[in-house]
Amino acid sequence: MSMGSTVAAHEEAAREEAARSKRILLTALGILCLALFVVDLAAGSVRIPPLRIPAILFGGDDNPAWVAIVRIFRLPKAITALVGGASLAVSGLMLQTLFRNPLAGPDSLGIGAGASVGAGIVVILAGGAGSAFLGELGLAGYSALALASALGATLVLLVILAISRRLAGTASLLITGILVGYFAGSILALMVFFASPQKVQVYLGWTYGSFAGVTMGRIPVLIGGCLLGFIALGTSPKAFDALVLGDRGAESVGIDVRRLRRRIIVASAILAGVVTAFCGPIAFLGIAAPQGARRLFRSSAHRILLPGSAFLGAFFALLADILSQAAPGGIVLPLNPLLALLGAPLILSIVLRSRSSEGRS
Amino acid sequence: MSLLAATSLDVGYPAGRGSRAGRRSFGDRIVFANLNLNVPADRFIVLLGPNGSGKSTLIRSLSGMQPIMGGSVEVQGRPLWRLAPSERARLLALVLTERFDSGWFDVFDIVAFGRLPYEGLGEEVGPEDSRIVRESLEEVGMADFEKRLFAELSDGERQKILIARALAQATPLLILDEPTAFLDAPARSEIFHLLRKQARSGKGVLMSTHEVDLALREADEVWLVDRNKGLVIGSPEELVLSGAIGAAFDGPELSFDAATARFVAPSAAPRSSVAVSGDDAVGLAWTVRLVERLGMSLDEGPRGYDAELHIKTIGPAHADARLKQAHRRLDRQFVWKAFTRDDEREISLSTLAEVEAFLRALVSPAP
Repeated sequence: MSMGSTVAAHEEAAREEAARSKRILLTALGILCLALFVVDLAAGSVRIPPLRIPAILFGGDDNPAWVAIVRIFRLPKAITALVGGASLAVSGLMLQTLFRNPLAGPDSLGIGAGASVGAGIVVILAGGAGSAFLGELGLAGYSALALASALGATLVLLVILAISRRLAGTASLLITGILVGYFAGSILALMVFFASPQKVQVYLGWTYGSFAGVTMGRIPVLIGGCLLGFIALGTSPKAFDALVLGDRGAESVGIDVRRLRRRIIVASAILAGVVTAFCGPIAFLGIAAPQGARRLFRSSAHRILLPGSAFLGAFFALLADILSQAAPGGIVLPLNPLLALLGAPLILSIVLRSRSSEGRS
Repeated sequence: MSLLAATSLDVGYPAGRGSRAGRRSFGDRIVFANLNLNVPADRFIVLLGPNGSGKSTLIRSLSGMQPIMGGSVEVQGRPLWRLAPSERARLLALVLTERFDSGWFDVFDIVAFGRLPYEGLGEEVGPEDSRIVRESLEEVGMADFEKRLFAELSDGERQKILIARALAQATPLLILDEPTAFLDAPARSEIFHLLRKQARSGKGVLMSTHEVDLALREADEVWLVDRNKGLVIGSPEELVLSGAIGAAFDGPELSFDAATARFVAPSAAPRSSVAVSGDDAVGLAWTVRLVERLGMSLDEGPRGYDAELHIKTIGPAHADARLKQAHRRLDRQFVWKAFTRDDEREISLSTLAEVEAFLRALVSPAP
């Protein structure tokens, strides 16, 4: 008995140690994100020394041009990248959990496309378009835009979910996502066809994806919407873990699977929808970040994966934003092609690896 | 005390979407009708039937994983449908056939899911829960596996871990759907032993299987699926003697032999007959098998026996041919005394290979 309990205590200590090292890694990743955030504020056609950033942000700097550039242009863009990246990553993580599919994500399932239709209805049919992508929408208009996107995303998600119950398997789910994406895309194409050239211009710019379209005044809507999604997902990581047992398996250990599924659908649709409304359809982040987190933390526990994916998503988004401004001559590269360059090889490696080691990629 | 009771239970699938649980409509597919079932504590019950006979449907209906088509199911006197999932999970633990991708979860994590009905969903696994997880692992003999990735285990190991997960739920009732499917023979026996042990320690255990021999050997009670008669309930011995097992499983190619509890092919006219006797039950049993395998009869033919085989034990003496525990270890050697009808001389054979050669020569004499 005493020997048994010593062994148990030893095992317990080892388990505690492993958990601690994961928390340290998580903290390190968080700090890295913060550093990248500062670099993002410093990078651009006007280079500002990163060490001056804190002073500029908190009002201690004497260069009014830098203060204006950072506070008016770069700060909302960096916040959008941070929040948007984290939201898409968490949305992707939860979709992967829901569908038990390593390649599920807001874009691969056509949910981004659904959000685009929702946003497109507001932009092309209802709202006016200005110099910035959506510059002339008021705060109420922006909220409507976010809501419409989230609704579009939810609608697509529900359709995919209904189909996925009849079709099992990774491939059929992805094909369904592609088809739903086409469907949403053709609705968008029709709307574009009948819209004025000016609005079409705005819409096309939006589809490239950008974190730069959000002004400081709209940031609260973005943060508010995403916060809603995070709160809905943050409270019960263990219930999400139990979903690996399968729907019936999770139910057998006391999880109310129907309710949990509903919560995941609504929350991940809000996250993907709101971000899509503000930044356009952002590709790959939603799949790549949670997959990266799984591999980095060697964990399937949502207690680790939720913050881990959020940090990694923010990290990728900030990195992509910094890279988009790294081209010489002040040219800002479009975001989606960059993310695809980063993300496509990663996803290909997941597909190749998943044949040998099931989902542990 | 009854842990699980079904009264006038109808089990099956509704005709279409939108039909409600408990209400029958035209076109419903009823797999079993009007069942009255009872799982008491301290009992190992095996639901036995051929593949595709509706065992899983019944198991799912009894555990609340599938709507029932009529009647009622009660867990410790409370209607199953009234129970919230977490409440149900504290009364009834399930092991299902669904295979899943467990990602990076190790064995401890998987078993710890069994503690979810008792913990907050946001909390870490507490020390009391960790203790129960380890006890459950010990119970299934997998204590050393807690750090192994679940995904890297063999099918048999996985099944034991899933049973440990069910044990961690600390429920009075354990229900398992085909836990021995995909397992090799030793692993199958191990699972049966394990479950019988759980029943002996006070749980009510219900499992479905198509393993006839193990079910007959280990179960306290068998619920036998018969395609014509529905569910036949009885002790294994009763069901064999009444011919119910044979009726349920016999096919055109094989039939159940009540004496040996094996499925045998009805053989063509036996080629010759051999009388087998001896002083050792195990030696006797396997010699009989050899004779049967060669297509010979153990019954006297019209011209008497063609040959006789008498087994004698040499080495450690076991004059007593009764099946004692000590007797089961094969630490002894045999010698076979053989006679043929035409040649009264006694031949002494010292290995089974020689016996086989002797028997084969009987059927087709060497040129």
